[in-house]
Amino acid sequence: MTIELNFGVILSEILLLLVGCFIFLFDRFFKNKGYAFWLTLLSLLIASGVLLISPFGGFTLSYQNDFFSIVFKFIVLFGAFLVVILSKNYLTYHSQLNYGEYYGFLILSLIGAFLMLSSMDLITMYLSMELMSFPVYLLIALNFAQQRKSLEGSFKYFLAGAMGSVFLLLGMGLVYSATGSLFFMQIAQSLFGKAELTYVLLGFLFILAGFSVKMSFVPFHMWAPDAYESAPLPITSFIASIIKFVVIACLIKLLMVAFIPLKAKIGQILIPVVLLTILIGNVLAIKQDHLIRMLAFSSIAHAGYAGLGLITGDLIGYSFTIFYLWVYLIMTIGMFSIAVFLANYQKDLLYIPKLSGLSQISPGLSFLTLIFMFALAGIPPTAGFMGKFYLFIGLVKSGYIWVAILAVLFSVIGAYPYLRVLKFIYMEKTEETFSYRWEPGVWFPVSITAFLTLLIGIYPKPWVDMVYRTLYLYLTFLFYPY
Amino acid sequence: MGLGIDLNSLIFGYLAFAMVVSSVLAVFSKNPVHTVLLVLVMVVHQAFLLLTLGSEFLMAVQLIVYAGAVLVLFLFVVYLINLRKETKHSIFVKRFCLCSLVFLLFLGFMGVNLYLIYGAKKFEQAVLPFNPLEKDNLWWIAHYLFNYYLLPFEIIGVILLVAVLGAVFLVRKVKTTEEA
Repeated sequence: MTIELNFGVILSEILLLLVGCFIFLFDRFFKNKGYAFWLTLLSLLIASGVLLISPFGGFTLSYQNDFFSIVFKFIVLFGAFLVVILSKNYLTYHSQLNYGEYYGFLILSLIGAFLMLSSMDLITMYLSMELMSFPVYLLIALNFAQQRKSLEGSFKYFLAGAMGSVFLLLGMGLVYSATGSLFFMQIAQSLFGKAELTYVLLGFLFILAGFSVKMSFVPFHMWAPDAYESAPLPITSFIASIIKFVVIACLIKLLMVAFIPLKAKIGQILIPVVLLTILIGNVLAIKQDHLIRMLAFSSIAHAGYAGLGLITGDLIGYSFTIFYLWVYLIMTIGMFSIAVFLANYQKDLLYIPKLSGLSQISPGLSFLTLIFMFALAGIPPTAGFMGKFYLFIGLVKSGYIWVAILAVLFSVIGAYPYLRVLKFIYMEKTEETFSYRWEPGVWFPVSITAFLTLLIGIYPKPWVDMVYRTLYLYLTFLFYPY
Repeated sequence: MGLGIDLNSLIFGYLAFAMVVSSVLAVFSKNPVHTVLLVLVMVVHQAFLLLTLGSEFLMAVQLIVYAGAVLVLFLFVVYLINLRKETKHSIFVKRFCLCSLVFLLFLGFMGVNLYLIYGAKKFEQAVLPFNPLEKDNLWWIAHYLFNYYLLPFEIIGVILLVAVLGAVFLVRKVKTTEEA
């Protein structure tokens, strides 16, 4: 086995790291903090260009550039691009948060996400997960001077994350003692032809518990509402969409590459967890009056929907899961852009009853809210419906009909909180009015995400095919290289 | 062996028991100085556990870094910011009894599960990817750290950078709402 140090494959991470360090080092010399925004945007664009031309291959044994990592890195970059644009708008209205470090921490978190998507051993995966979450803990606490609550949310997330890390490390230790390696390929090799798997299964369950904290699966979901509510809104959309996407994609990678014999069993174990996640997320979302809290509980429920694809334990189910997460990334960033718009002009508009009569004040905004709420609830001509449809069809096809029926019933409960928002917007009257202005920082992400939501809702096939082919080609190249 | 207990498991049992007891006491101790000292006891026992596993280099590192540097630093912090007394709170969790009951039930459930899975058979012997007796301890650590785990080693550097930056960033001087 040779150790390659091929710096060409890891170039995008190095680039982002350099930009992050530049921001931290030279932030004092810039009076106008807009430079950090443009620098970040530019570096994201250059990073995507570098990704396009970067060769496949490994940087030591623990990092690999392949179909999986490159395609999903593009999705992450797309989300981060929108989040950064949104941040610029949010920070102009909340100038007490306007530091260059905001973008610096965002970039550092993005490096963690990139490394996690490319990681080929458990240690790298764990460490890059920490690298992804540490800056986010700090960004949640950014506003602590004005809002004491943000410290609470950040600390809760931090403690939950620390507990998850303990589980993860314990599981990694068990897997190491059973298989003698931490590299995915070697774990797969040693599990192949092994009759007794209970020891490895126990280890993997601990790893799953560690991941569940970040994915906010049910026994580990309690940090989510507080952290979401107290964070700056663009950061909330970052946690809800990108971090969830990366962590679940890595879980799928673990199942597909390293723990192949455990796939079916893990699916069975996940059934009650996933159903409970959907149920609890949806039921608790009903009572929330704060828009962001409602979206936080809905994000718990959506993580549950995405988990439905893991139950069947085959490539089709996994590709549906990732497709759903991609759809969810679009919907969440769109919905949070609208929330940023509302919070910019009147902070209490984030309370759902205060939204009443919004359709008189701003019909365009109300229509966009309608699109995203329909998408989140899963109502036909939107992407949210197609994502759920594929997941349920996948379950029915592989014989888990009762799981599909229960999930459909729970998602009917889940439609209520979204439709309630629409009821306030469209069916109530109001005397109040406020002036607003459409700014590129909001309309750009909103229009792109709304367009994609409708496009994927009407013509989903190429997107599902893209995800499926990515996973298929990845596995083919991994196990049969030539 | 005559008693049916070999010396290895006796020593391991003592070290593990001492570690668990000292860490539990550290959590429940009211005095922060006592907490730090109990953690010190735990760390020393851990170091000797590493010695029984044959990794003398890690034992030395554990003693020098944790017992020697980190905990002394903790002790300094405790003295410097005058944290002798614990701040008292009313009970944080409502229905504390119910919660602890549920926790105990959960523990019992886990225990029964583990017993059902592993009670019948002996634990598998751990698989090692190399023969540790071939070279000395330090050689193996260096070999694995700088060949196979080079990237994680670098990532740890970035994580520490984030931690330092974050600590500095969070203690910056800002106008709170009360002042403004």
